[in-house]
Amino acid sequence: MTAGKQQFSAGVKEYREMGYLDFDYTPKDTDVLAAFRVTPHEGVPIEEAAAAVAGESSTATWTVCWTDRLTTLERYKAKAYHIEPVPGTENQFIAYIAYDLALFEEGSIANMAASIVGNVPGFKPLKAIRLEDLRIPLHYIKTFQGPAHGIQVERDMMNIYGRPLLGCTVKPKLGLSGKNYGRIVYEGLRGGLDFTKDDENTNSQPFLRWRERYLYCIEAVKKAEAETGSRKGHYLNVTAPDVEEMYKRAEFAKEIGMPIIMVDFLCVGFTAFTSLAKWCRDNGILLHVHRAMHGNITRQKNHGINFRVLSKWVRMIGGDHLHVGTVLGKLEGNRSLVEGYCKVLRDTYVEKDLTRGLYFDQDWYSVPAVMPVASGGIHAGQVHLLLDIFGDDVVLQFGGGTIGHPWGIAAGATANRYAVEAMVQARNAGRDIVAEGEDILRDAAKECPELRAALDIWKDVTFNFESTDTPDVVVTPTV
Amino acid sequence: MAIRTIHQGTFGFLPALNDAQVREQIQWVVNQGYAVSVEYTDDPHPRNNLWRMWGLPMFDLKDAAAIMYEFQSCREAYPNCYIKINGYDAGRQGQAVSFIAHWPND
Repeated sequence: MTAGKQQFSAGVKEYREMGYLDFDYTPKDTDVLAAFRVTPHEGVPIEEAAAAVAGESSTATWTVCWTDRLTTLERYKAKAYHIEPVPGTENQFIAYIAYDLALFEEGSIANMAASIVGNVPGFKPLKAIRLEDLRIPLHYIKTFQGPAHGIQVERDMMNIYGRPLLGCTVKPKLGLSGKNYGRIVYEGLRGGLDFTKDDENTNSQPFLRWRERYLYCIEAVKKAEAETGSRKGHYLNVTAPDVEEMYKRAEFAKEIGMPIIMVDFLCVGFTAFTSLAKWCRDNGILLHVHRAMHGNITRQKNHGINFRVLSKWVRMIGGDHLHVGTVLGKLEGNRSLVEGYCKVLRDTYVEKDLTRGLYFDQDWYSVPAVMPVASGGIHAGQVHLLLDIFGDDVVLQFGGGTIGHPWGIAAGATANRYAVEAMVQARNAGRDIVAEGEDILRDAAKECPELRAALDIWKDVTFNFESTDTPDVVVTPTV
Repeated sequence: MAIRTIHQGTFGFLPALNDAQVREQIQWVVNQGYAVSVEYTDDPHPRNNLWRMWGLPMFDLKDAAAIMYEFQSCREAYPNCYIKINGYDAGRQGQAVSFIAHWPND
């Protein structure tokens, strides 16, 4: 028998013998490339584990089927083309797998997710598996809409340039009446914020139905705009029980004149999120994307999907904002990895950089950029560090850091806005904001009592916990 | 100084910049390789995108002096208008900087 026929004689075969392992394969420019962190069970050779991942995420099943011979399976087989041990681990490997472009439906993250991370995360021979990164060919990227608007269009819509945008989540996030909710929005915006926001689970509960919340919020936005002579917005959460209801809320947000809405993209699912992103482009409404639920998927280092993959999917599908962590605040996020997510969201061409967890070069060509959002446990005393980490193209969201100000919400907003403006001014004037940041803030506080009060109360608040996720490769400083 | 009710632009909450500070900021814009322009208006409504241009944007500048001169000339001509400095980044095909350098009644 020829080799090709032998491969299909009946029975159970090892995946590596079925053509799913091919170290001689040179990936094509049109291939989708995946980097998986694979932890095989004891006794399972990594070559077999990698081939099994390639097989199960493309054409194979556990046994040989005669029907395989009715197609040109060679074309549709994914190929594990490279394996590398993870430095500093006993039994972890990065398996690189190439997928032919024909395996994926155009414009469908639902299909891509079902293919690449559909079955394999539950596959028995593996102890754990994590999708670390994807190289998505431009041929495929161009079948997606991309961000509804992108950073530059958002800046033109909001008329805000040359500094980070400022936001704040309404707290308490549940339990307020509509009128009290609107009061918080108004105070924050008139004090100097650009945006306020619903939280991920602020939907339409019995104590506050969505329509009432929307109306009080737009009243607050319009009044703050009239008083401050600048543009404002409140992210109205349109996450809903079904897509018809989601559209109903989005349409109402547009009707009352809100420039931005938000959605919990993982909770509503990739398909609903994709539809909403298209609606947002059609209707000129910005789309803020909350990542509620992602910690279940992204946080364990050896299993799940790395957040940089979800970031790529959000940029392809169409979000304008995406939460990425703060590095400094209360939520997970190692600095170099967060910098990696920001590059994925904002850069036109992202180069491979293992110190930031970027396993492949990624060309975005003409796809607009997504605004990263840093939110959770940050305050005015950290503005110099936040500006250094994120640059200008970011939304800094101070929730407790605004509403918790001892003099009230508007004072908290003013403190944050003043701190950001003073820091941008100092940076542009040539000062070293990391080394001199605290002096710059102290000087600014002399002109701004609200900032002085904020610095006094929060100056020592930090969240120094070890990250659960870090890059495998760290830069060795050269002398 | 009258109470400011307009908080537009990058430095809408800081006290009005003095000439030395305006010059520092312009120099930074120039250093980024951005084209720089001066615009003025007596209608700072938040929806007013189209302030009047004080001449054309200036390209390929190395020094803030030329824009500083244009800004000061504009201020002499329209002391009761708002005047802003814009930076245009050809790479991102849009504005990258916009701050108000003169407020009426300052």
